[in-house]
Amino acid sequence: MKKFLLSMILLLPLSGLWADQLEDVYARISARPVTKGELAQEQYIKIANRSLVSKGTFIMAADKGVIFDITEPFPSSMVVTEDKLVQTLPGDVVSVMDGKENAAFKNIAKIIHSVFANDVQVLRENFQVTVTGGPKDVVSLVPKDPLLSMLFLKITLTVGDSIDSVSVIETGGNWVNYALNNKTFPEKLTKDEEQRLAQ
Amino acid sequence: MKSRGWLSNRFLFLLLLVAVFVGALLRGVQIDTSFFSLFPEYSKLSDVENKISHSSSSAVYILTESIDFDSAKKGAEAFCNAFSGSDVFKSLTLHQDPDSIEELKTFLFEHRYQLMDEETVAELEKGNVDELSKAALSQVYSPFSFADLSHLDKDPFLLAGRSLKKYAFQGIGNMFMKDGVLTAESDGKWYVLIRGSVTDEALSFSKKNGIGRVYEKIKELEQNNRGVSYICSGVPFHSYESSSKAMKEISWITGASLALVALIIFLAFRSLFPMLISLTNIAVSLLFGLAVVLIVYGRVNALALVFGTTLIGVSIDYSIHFFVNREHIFRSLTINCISTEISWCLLMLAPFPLLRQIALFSAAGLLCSYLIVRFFYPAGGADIRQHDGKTHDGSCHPDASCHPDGGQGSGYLLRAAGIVVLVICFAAPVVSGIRIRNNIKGMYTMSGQLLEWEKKAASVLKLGSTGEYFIVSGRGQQELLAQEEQLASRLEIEKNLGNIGGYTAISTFVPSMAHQARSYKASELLLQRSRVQLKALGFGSAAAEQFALDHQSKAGMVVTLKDVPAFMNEQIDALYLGKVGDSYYSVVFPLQVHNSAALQNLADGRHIFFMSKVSDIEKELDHLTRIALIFILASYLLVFPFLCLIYGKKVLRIALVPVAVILASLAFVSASGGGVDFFACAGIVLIFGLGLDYLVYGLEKKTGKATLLSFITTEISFGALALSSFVPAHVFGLTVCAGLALAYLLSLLIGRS
Repeated sequence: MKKFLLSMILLLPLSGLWADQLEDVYARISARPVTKGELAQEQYIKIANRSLVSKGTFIMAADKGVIFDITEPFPSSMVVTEDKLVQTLPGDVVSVMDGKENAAFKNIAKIIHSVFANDVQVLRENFQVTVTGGPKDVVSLVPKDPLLSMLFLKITLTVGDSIDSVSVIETGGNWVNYALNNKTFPEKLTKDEEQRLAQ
Repeated sequence: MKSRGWLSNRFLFLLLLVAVFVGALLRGVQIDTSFFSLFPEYSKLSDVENKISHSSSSAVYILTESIDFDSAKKGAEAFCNAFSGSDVFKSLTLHQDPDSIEELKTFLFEHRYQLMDEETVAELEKGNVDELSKAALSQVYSPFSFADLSHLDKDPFLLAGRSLKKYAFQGIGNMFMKDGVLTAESDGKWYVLIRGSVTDEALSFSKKNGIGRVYEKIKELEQNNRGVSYICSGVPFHSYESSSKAMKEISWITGASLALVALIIFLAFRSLFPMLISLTNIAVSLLFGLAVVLIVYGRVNALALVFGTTLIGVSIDYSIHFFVNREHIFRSLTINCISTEISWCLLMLAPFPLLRQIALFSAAGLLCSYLIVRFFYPAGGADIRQHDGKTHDGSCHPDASCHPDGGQGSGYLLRAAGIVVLVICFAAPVVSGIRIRNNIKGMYTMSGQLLEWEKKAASVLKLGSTGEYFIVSGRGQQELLAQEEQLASRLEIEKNLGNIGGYTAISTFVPSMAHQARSYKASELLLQRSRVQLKALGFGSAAAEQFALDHQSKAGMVVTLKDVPAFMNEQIDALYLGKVGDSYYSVVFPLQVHNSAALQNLADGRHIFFMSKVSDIEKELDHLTRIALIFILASYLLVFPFLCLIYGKKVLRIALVPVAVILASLAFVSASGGGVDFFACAGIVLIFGLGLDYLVYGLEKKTGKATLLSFITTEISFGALALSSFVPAHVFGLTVCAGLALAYLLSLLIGRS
């Protein structure tokens, strides 16, 4: 019992520290209005015991959302905003999870959006958050809701000046690593990009 | 000899009373509070409709509201704990099984070749395998797509995932699962949903009403958990409100009517004896009416009791006439009892459960009252005479023949006045017009809080369902599903046209065997592409061979309703009605209906029926109103020859009066409200029966004091009913009140002239 109390006393300041660090990390991420760069995705499929690699670009506008465009080997795009997820596949097949259509979609979109945006409150509501300092900050997000755990077990962000990589551990032993490289920080989005995020 | 006959009749009647009361007690006194009894059987599919009504009449939604999710969830848990194991709810669901999505994924994966949606099947049938293949590959490589890749070797085209969205989010409206409960966020507040089904006992007034206990507990929980409030929605809350109101009204209408009637009788006879014996007669008659209804129907509707209070004013008439006229009135009483019973019996034929109960209650009570007067009053006659202090030889009777105003000169004046009133009665419908119009929305008005709750629940849940739906039928389950699919394909067109937002149907969960076979056949086209597909995903040729074997093993597999994941059963139960008569039935609910006229055209009247509850009930009530008018004509034709036999030439004098009263009543109702509705028409049936009494008494030379007293007491009963907040009771009471006043006036003018 004493050990438990001692560990609780020791951990309490740490949790406060993580809280402050989380805000610092996301303040850094959102300090630049737009981040663009190349995306390298490595997806491990346990059942095939191999990784699938794809490449593309990303555009991150902290307050508006994120656009992922995969160009190789099979083109597709994913637009994440606060209230919807829009996936575009070949042949202009568009799959929309629109929050206006269903509150469940809105909730999922809001949570995914919060991972890239400065929405610390939503993160805290939905994840057990830990932040580890070092050369780069590492933010670990473990879903609180069992339903969310069915989509992913853990999201880890490595953050320097901006997000450098994101890794997602999924159920069934699968995982995905997203490396965000060759980043640039334009002042604003182009009209086309604005339109894609507003659609 | 005659005396022994009377004794034997009395004994038999007493035996009947005892048998009926014992029979009713054995069946148990149950008061039905069902809200749906307000409505008639309004369609040919009434048995099917009853099944739908039965499930919706017990379903409740309870939302807990708070500014933060945790408090709302705790409030919901406290409510469920409070009613855990109680006899109020058959079921109470708060927590959602987090494994349900996993269960659904397994179901969709196992039956992926049979459950492909129409769009995918059609694409494959067109030979567009390439598009499907590319879409799956892109999906696998797409970031944050969260596609289920755990069976990628067996499902490289991601067929299972294509249907997941449709299955997982159907019928939950604006709610989503959070922390194991269904929740919604609206206007900065969190709501947690509890779904429940109330037991039949909890809805009944025979025990402490379950809904009353829900309200008490909610009040207590709100006091203990500041910041958490509860919102109740569902038919049981409306049933409770209307029946509670009905019970209160029964108390005051009965109390007020009895008190006034007793006072009038006391004042008229200056004696307690007639008053006490009349009140006893009323009490026995009311109990007899109630007992007969309980024996026949097993339970009595609270609203039928509200209407039944009018029995006080009607049954007292026989007592009054007896005390004024003694045995000389029995002929008139018998005629009147028969004519009034005919009116009630005709109402018993109406396809309207509530009205049938009212009619049976009144007919039985009235008959009982008549028989009490007939069999028991003469035995106590000597005593009453002493109290009364009058004779019945006609000389001092307050009847028309000896009344000072009954002279020849005033007879002409009365006749002239009668003719004028008759002309006015016949002209009234021409001036006002007669419109038949039933407005069921106006029949029931929600209390402020219930209205607020319903508005809030609708805005939070956003289930999108309206009172409009389709009933689909088939000779077997497969024909039913095939019919549903035909309807679904047309509903998809309406959805694309923007006429509806969506729909729910069981065929979207489990398609027909024909569709499943077609789906499997279309999936065979994937075999040719499977090797390339699996290679692109990193699998070897062995995986392709396994894929082909696996596909082959699924041949002939059939998905039935029993195979669906358990968490979907509740939704399927609400849609699938099962076998009713010789056919199988299901319901298809269009959601967010913007153009209901477009939906009506989708019904074929053979297998697909469009049901619009409000307009269907109103149409049926309009139809019933017309039938009721025909009933009145039928009553008239039935009673007229009967009166002809008794009164001969005099019958012509009374022939015009009922017609005049009916026409004037129809004109009055048309002019005073939105039109003649069914309850006004039911009132007119009664005016015919009761109004005729005054004329009969007139012809029998028994008008005067007795008729005036009986008129006043009847007016008191129906007048009290006219004060009811329950709109049909108000309309019924007011119509009878006005109609009887006119009938009485005409009986004075015509009968005595």
